[in-house]
Amino acid sequence: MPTALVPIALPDWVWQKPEVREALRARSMGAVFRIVQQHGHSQGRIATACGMAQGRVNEIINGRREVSQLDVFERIAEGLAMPDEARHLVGLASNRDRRRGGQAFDLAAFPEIVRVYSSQADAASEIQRQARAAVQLDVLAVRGLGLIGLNDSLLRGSVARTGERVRLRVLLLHPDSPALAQRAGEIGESPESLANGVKLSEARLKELSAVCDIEAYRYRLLPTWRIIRCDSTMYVSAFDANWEGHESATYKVMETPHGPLYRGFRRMFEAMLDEGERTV
Amino acid sequence: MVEAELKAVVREPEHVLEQLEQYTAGRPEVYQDTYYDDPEGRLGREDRELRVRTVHGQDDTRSVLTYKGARIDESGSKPEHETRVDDPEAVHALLLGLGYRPTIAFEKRCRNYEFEAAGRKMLATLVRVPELDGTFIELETIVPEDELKDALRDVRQVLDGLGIEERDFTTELYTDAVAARR
Repeated sequence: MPTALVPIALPDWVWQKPEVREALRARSMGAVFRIVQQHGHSQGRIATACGMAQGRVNEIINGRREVSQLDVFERIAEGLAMPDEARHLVGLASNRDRRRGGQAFDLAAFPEIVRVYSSQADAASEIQRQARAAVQLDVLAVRGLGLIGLNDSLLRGSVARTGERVRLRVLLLHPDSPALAQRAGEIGESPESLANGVKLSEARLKELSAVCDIEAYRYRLLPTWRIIRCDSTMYVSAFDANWEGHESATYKVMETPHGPLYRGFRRMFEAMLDEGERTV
Repeated sequence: MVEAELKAVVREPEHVLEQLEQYTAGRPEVYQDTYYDDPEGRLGREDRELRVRTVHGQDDTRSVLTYKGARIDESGSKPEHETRVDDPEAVHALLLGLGYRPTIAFEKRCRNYEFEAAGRKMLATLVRVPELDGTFIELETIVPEDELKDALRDVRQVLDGLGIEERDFTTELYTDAVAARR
């Protein structure tokens, strides 16, 4: 008997009706099936959703057979997408993650880090390809000359399109911040030179407003993460002392329902944007 | 050639994953699929599929263009023609130019296992579709059409060995399931 990918979805209030709660408490699946039928679902649909033969569903509905095995209750609860409260009345645990293995299983089996590059150069052509197809581009950098500021920067050629306008948001380090002086020291550059690099980038970003919807902001946090987001795919590397962002290994992180990295970086980016000082 | 394939709902994902890892180490990949049809929906009506898939893997990112003909038996097996494409954007433009329109796009998170069983090369894929509850398994082997029946028997046997029961087999398409959820 083929089973269904999508369970039967009843409105929540159905499960709260006294006669439904009574049927659940009595573990009378015949009564439960009759109620499901009253909501427009055929015996065939119930059978498919619960992975049972239609004849069996018919027997249960007509009281010729009772459900007694735990795995069958489990199957019915899943097939009818019972909310936890309804499961409890039948005597089932609320562990609705069981069938899908839970968050930890999902993230271990289907990790959100999809690929690892030994440097940004290794990821360059892939990033450009993703950027060319993306509607939304976010960039978190220090001065951004390698990424977006100059004509031959990684992403510069990807933002001008025919037909649609890309939404581009760029966060660059504040030229007057203590963090900039610290970062300059870390990479053996003068603060003045680094600050001028940021300002040059900002000037070149202004020019992009002719071809895309650009917003640029300054942040004051010590540079730690370097992020390029192309829609739901992020390329993440790090800044450290004596370690330029483009030399860092790069992770390709894709959005998943439970993935903490994608969510965390996204949230951090939005927070830095909110606190940032808009320049373009 | 035809894809002898069975798909099932996985009730005990941890257990099945453990079994599969004994064959070989799983390869996690993300599939981004876009399906196309003509404005009248003729392909869908005739149980045919036209798809551009981009696979985000550990070693590369690649795209394939696939056409699947109508099911030739109750297992859901379909004749399949597939070729790798360098530039999915160009294929998209090409299909639009030919009058096709994207009908549905969604992601599949996959863990792939290639191994040999019952004397055949098999590809097992554990699948999560973010919009659908549950983990699914697909097991397939590519065979000449006249071997389909035997190949399906072998596929069923491997699934049985993984603890997948026949009542959990499904022929429902992800496209229909995702569309029903939206």
